[in-house]
Amino acid sequence: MIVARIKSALWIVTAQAPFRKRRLVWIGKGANLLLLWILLIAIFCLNMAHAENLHPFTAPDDASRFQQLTKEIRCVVCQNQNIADSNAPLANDLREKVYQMVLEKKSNKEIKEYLVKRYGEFILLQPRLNKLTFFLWVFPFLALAGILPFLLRLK
Amino acid sequence: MQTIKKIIPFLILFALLGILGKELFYAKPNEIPSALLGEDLPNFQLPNLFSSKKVVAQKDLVGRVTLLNIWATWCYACSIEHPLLLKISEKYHVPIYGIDYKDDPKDAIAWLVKNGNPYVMVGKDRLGNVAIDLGVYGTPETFVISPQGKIVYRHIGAIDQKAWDEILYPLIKKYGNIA
Amino acid sequence: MISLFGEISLVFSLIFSLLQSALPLWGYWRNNPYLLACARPSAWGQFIFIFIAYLLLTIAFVTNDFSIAYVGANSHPTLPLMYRLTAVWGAHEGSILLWIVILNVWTVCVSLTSTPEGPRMTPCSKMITLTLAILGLISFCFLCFLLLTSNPFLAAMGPQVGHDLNPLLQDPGFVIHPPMLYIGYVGFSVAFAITLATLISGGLDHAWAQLTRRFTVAAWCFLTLGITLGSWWAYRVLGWGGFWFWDPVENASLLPWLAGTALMHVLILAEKRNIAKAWAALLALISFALSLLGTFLVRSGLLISAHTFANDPARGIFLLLLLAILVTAALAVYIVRIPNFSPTQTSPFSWFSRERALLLNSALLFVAMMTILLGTLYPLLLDALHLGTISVGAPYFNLVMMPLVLIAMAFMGIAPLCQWEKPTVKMVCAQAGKQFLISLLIATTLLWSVTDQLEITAEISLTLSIWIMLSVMNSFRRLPGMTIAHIGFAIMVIGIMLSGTLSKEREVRLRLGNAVNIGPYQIFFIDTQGISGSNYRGIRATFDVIKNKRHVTNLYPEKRIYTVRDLVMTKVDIHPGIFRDLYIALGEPLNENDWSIRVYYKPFMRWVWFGGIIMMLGGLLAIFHRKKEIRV
Repeated sequence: MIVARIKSALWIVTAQAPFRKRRLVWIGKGANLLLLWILLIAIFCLNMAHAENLHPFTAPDDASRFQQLTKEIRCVVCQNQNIADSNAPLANDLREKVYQMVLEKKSNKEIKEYLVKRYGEFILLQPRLNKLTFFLWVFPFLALAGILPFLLRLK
Repeated sequence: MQTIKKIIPFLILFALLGILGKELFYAKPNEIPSALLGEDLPNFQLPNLFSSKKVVAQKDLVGRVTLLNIWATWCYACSIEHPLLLKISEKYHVPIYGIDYKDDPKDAIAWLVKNGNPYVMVGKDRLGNVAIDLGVYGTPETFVISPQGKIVYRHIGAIDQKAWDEILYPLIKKYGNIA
Repeated sequence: MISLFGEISLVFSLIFSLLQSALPLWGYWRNNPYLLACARPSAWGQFIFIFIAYLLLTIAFVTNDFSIAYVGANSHPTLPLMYRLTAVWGAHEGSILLWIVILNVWTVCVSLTSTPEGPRMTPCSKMITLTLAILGLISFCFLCFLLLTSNPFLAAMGPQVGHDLNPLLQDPGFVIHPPMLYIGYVGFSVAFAITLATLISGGLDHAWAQLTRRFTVAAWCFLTLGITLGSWWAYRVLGWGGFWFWDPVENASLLPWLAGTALMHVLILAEKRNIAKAWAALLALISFALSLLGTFLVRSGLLISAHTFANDPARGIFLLLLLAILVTAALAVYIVRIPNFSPTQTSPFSWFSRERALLLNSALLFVAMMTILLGTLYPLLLDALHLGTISVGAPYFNLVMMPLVLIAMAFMGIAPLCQWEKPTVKMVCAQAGKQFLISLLIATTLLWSVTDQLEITAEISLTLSIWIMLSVMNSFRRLPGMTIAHIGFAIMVIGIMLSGTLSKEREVRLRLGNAVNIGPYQIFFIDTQGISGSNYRGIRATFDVIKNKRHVTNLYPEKRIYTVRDLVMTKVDIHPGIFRDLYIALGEPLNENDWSIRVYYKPFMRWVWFGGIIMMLGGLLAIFHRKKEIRV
């Protein structure tokens, strides 16, 4: 579907290209640059509308929460990406869903619970602490503690 | 004692290699079981594809064992699975409900008219929200719903005769108390 | 024709590798100098034939010989020449061939390091001979794997039109990243082989330590460069501004790097102070074992990753067996022979000594390595034991590695001040404290002036980095390599931390003619135009970057469709700078005039890779400086 969209955009753009070429070619290269500068200054003066955020929030807390959450949720149909970094259709949908839930002021825990209930623990890139992942989280501390006798022994 | 100390590293090594080997044989890293197995079918309500005034809702699937099929006209595998769905609804008399996923309703209606409609009812999920509620990865996916309204199985990908014979139909018979 | 000669070369190479490994080992057992002397010529023979095989495969790519299945699957007549040359290693079979070629290059280097021996073999040259034998054994295993399961010269079934190289690989970064990475990975096999050879033939002596250290540092340099280039390439190609994703394949390259760094440091102890030799030997074996594990994980199909080669489990089983045999044999040799070698009496060293610092460093690196290994394998382990499916991703690794890195950096700051054996504790503490306070002051000032806030992780990491640089300044004359390498590391950490905490990103819907603000910049969307390359068509957007009402640069991100594979690829545009990067990527066309785009403002992004390259230069300096050192 994305391919189709891009192809149609490509068609629109290339179809217009001949017009641009014709108008600009006879002016000449130097004048092109001048035209560009005039255009830019015009843009300044006219103070044109700015971009709208794709996912606008009123509270900055929400914005950072959204950013953080999308980095912790896995795109389950991709090869090891989070939904912030993926353009897959499901990733886009999941991003929208998380966006909606953040707007509804649902907590991080609730959002994660919702997704885990439907997609399993697999969807969380940071494993939650439970019986199964206990060893995973505790290991770095154990290992650090374990090196002390190793160091003490060598004298 | 010394010998035991010498053997332990080998044991750890072999355990690790054994686990890696086992994964090689049994792992299917792209198949993940539905997290909703055994849970109630989420409460959803979608406009009916053929007449917007009516709705297709979760309560329609309760009372007897049903199949819930997520499909789309732009999905190639769905067209492969379609003849089997027709057969399931006509020959085996299993009610199939459909959710049309992120489709243009006009395309979907035309497609069903042209290829046959195996569905009792079809809901249109234009944005894919209900699909997320169901934990769907993509199309096609088929859920087996028990008479109590619980999800008992989720099949990812197109159903083929083998999957039907070996997994789906036995489940349907079991939950539908069909001999 | 090419495939026939290619396969013949491979078979000859296999035969030579067998001779290279079996004959010297037999000769060692029977104490026969003529058999032992076979090692060197066999090594050369193997190298010549494997090189011929590689050359033939390259010729097949360049001439578009699609009668070979591998060429057809990875190339296309419209693929530019540069990428046709590098597509040789673009998929599994070719990359294993590259692996073996590089193994042979290292083997030849080893055979060149020792003097030609006469009828009487000195212990040193015996060690080299056995090293060659073990390298030959490794090469033999991989050649068997290649010929039996991954033959790049297999003929194509039916006529082929060429499937083109994966568009993500059609980038200059791809040209150097894999070879550098492989040279590093495979280079640890030398340390592995020398250590095994010494364990078999004698004790862990000075000659072993010296030689192993040189080769380890050389391999480490290439691995550092390879990882740095990979990170830079991912940043440019993968479209979303990240440079490290804790992807399992990336972890697979980081694990030998961590073990190799620990090895490098412990070998200093082994060579100069004659201690911790058993630990150094173990690390040497572990480093290469991790390289092999990495090779296995990446090609077995066990891991979900953007980097993995598409593979069937049959190859995975072969690689697992290979891994099992080599590692078990190495472990067996280690466990059997280590007790035979009694550690020499050395002078005791106190708590603040450099010995202690180096040991602590290797321990921390080892813990980091084990943590990453566990994290990478944990989902596999749980799945194998039918305990469920979880993900262990970037958030976990970032969280867990942070304290380890900070602790390591704190000790990196003190260590250069410690002397050998018995330093004067008071002096060390005083100097360290003074430098720490200066760094704290500088870091606070810099952060405050740039960002008007003191974010705690940025503050701590910046302080520690500056402290490391300060503490290592005085060592430049004696140890230029170490100084440069540590400075490089500090720069890299600054880059990583600051680009993380200070970066800004925006995802917006932008109409032609409108602008988006990010940081001190305004970025105007000027126009889009159609473009086409030799194997793609696409859209290029023009953006104008303005700062303080002055034009800074133009950016031209693209969206390309590679026609053969029908794949859409986002090509980002980056304006690099010493102190910041501007990064822009096209999302999707939302309608005729609107596009969703992402812009990133990333301060100090380049420092990550500057740091990596400086680390590598430090390593190179360390190797070559040694040679000029006059032994007193």
